[in-house]
Amino acid sequence: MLLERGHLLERLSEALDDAIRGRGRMVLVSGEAGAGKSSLVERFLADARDRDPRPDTLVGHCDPLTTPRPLGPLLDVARRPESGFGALPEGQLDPYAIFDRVLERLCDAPTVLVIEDVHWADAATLDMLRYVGRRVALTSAVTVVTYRGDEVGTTHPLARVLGELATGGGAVSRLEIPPLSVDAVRELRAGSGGLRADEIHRITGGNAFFVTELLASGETVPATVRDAVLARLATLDHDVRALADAVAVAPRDLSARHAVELAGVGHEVLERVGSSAVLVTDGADLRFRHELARLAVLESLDPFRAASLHRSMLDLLIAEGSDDHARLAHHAIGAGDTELVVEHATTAARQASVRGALRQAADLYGAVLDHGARLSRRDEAALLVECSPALLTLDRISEALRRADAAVERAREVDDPELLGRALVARAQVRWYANMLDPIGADLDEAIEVLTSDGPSTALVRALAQVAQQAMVDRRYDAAVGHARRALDLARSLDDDEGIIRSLHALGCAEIVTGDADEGERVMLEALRAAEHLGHGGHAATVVGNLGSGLGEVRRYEPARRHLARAIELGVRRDADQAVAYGHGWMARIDLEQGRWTEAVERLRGHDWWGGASASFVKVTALAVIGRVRVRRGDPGAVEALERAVDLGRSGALQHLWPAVCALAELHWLHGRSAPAVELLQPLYERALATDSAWAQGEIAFWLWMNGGLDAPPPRAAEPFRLQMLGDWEGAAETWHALGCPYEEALALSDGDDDAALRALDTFDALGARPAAGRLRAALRGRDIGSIPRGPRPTTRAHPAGLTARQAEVLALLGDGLSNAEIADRLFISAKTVEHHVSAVLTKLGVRTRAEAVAAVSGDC
Amino acid sequence: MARYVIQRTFPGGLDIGNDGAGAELVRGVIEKNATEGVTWLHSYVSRDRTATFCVYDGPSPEAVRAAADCNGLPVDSITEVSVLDPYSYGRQR
Repeated sequence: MLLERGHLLERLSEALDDAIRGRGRMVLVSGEAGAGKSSLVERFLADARDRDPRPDTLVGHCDPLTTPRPLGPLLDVARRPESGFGALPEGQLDPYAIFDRVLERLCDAPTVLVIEDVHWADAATLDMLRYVGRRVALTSAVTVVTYRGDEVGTTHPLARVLGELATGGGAVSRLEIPPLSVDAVRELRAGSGGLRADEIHRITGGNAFFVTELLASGETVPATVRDAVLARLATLDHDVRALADAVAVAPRDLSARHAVELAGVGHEVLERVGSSAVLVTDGADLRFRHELARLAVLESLDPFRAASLHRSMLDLLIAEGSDDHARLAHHAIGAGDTELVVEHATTAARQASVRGALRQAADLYGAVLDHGARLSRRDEAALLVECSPALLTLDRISEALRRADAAVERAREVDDPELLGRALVARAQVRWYANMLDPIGADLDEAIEVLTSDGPSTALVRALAQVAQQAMVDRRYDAAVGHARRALDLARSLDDDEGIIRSLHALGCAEIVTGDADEGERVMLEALRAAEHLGHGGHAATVVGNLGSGLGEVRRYEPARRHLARAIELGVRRDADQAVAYGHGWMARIDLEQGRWTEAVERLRGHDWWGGASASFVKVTALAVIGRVRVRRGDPGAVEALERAVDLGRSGALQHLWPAVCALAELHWLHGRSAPAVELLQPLYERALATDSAWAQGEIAFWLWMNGGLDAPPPRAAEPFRLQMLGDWEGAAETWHALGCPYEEALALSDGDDDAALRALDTFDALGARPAAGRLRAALRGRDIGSIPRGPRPTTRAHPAGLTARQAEVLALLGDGLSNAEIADRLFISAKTVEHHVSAVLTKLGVRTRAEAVAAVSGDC
Repeated sequence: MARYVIQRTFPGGLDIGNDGAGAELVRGVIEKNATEGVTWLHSYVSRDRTATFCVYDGPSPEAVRAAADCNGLPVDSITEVSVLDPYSYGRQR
């Protein structure tokens, strides 16, 4: 796949057009090593070979030899019989006889001549380029010359040739290959785990070779990259190499002043940095051209040498009175100075937490705790509690669990009720994410006990809010609201802003899922304003996310989607991977419930929901959607996805278990297997009856009823389920219609008169719900209905050009002038998928460009 | 990678000529399949050319459907299958 090179290919293709018309061209293609020069040229050659008539394509390479062969690349080309050179006058002393022969050949027939890597070219090849370049307009050829721009300093022999050719008029042009953008990296990365796209972009600088190698190997520093970098380093002189070692131990850039001091070299060495192609400088600071190169050098550095460089740097910084704690911590870690690690990493971790740089904060906390020999038990316990939120947000659950256990253990060893209370509350929270629900109650009871005896405190507020949160999760309205109000009052009396946010959050969620959803939304927005006022991004993101998922659960889709979109955006901005994954999981669930099945599964593709490190409830949400789409389409793999979800959700909250279990019951129903469905649902139904959740009770009861395991709705069942179970299929269908749930609406209509049942059949067919449609057709055959439509009509025939509905939609958005990324956003699908749709549209319309596609269609209408 | 049989209906009859255009069409399908990580092994076509049974390898039914969507091909059903070889039956395992 060649990304972001379209415009370069177009320029090359235009040059070939000119050449074929008898106006030859020379194109000088430059880029750093690994930028993708060869890939670009190969693609251009492949495109050229597809042309009719087909031009000749000739390729020669220059080699990195100490003494390059005179005219090596040309001789390689000419040796091939199909090159049409015939025998070159090789023995001749006069190179111009050879150059003339080359020129003659390039005038003979449309030709693409490629000379690669001319930064390694011998003097005679450079002369030839100069000679051909000046006369290239007379030929019928496009001569493509590639070279590494970053290796051609002002004194390089190629530099003079390039300078002379530049004055040669319009026949000679230059193309520079830029680094890949973050978007391109994201596209290349799609489907693979590991580092995030922006992270990969940062460490590779968008270098195509580095990006591909990194993605292919999955290692931080792939062996191929290390070899490439070390080979480059071997060409540097001793002093520049020493400078590179010094810069390698610096986390970001290193001031030139520090670098020469650390490396123990003279200032004049800095002048040679520019042509090294490894290091770059803006005059004041030095850094590696690519972070990946720095990591490769660092890995290859002798450990004692690295430690001593860190030590010297640490001494330099301390002597200067630096207050850059992150930098100081970095060198203290490198130098193995535990005392300084604790001092600086703690401060730096707190600063990073406040700034919302969670990854950095978690790493720094980890550094302190792992160098913790010199920490007091109290300090250690406090730090263990402190690092918990960052670890949870980053979805590092097992690490969070380990730290939380240690925190409680340490806190018990010192006589400090408040610290113990905080540690217990923190652990209860971690256990919730880890799906260890049973011991949570004991943690919270103990926390409230020790904290109450200690008098009013923010720690008590935290504990009460957590109890309220837990009751909300169990969908017990009175307990949740009661504790939340108690927490809120106490928080207000203590002016505890964070406590106020947490209490409002628990209160708002409880109202949404078990009480008055409008009131709940209002309370949540108050919590959001308080979080934003406090400048606490973490709380704001959590509140928005739960506002979205809560409203989704009670099927208020429009506001739910709005809040979830915002939660995803906030999550992406602050590294909150868990919030992003959960947000997508919920968006997908809403897509499923609203009948947008393709969008639902499309949104979830490219992520490992089976294994993977995410919290169970995140995976469960996604797997239940994937499984249910398969059930409703009659696709294979439904049971696998749903049983995995049930497995992961078994020890978790009801809300994360019920959708997957109901989907399995739905599958049984579609196959007419009622006994296993009832057996599956019964224990879950008992659990739901103990809650105040109308939607949980409603849906579980509904599938029990469908499978013959229940006669009448339970008291709290949500309206449309209740109506259908009472025999009011019309009222149920209307309610589902108003909510925007076509599949459920059709299920209700299936219970109705012939007319309603035929409408249901239409809906099932349109959705691609083959099993439900099949079941209904079988039922209708027993009735005396004139004609039952035999099956779905292929929607593809509806569009004159044979476009699918989705392709037509993409085409319409193209007409609005939207880019692939914008279309992807609009349709909630990936940019890659949009690209597929666009190319399918182009193929079907028989056009080459997006503009032509739009024109072709507007001409039609 | 799982193996699937995909049933498709072409009410107007399938028309892939054994010529340059047909080859081009088939190559296009193969290329688009590849972008979804899906491989078309071969197909069985009914005598009246209105139904096909296509044998595919792919990572998931969603990928198979996405590839079909890219190619504008209909999908009636997707069935996950494994091979039963009557002549080596009982000898394996």
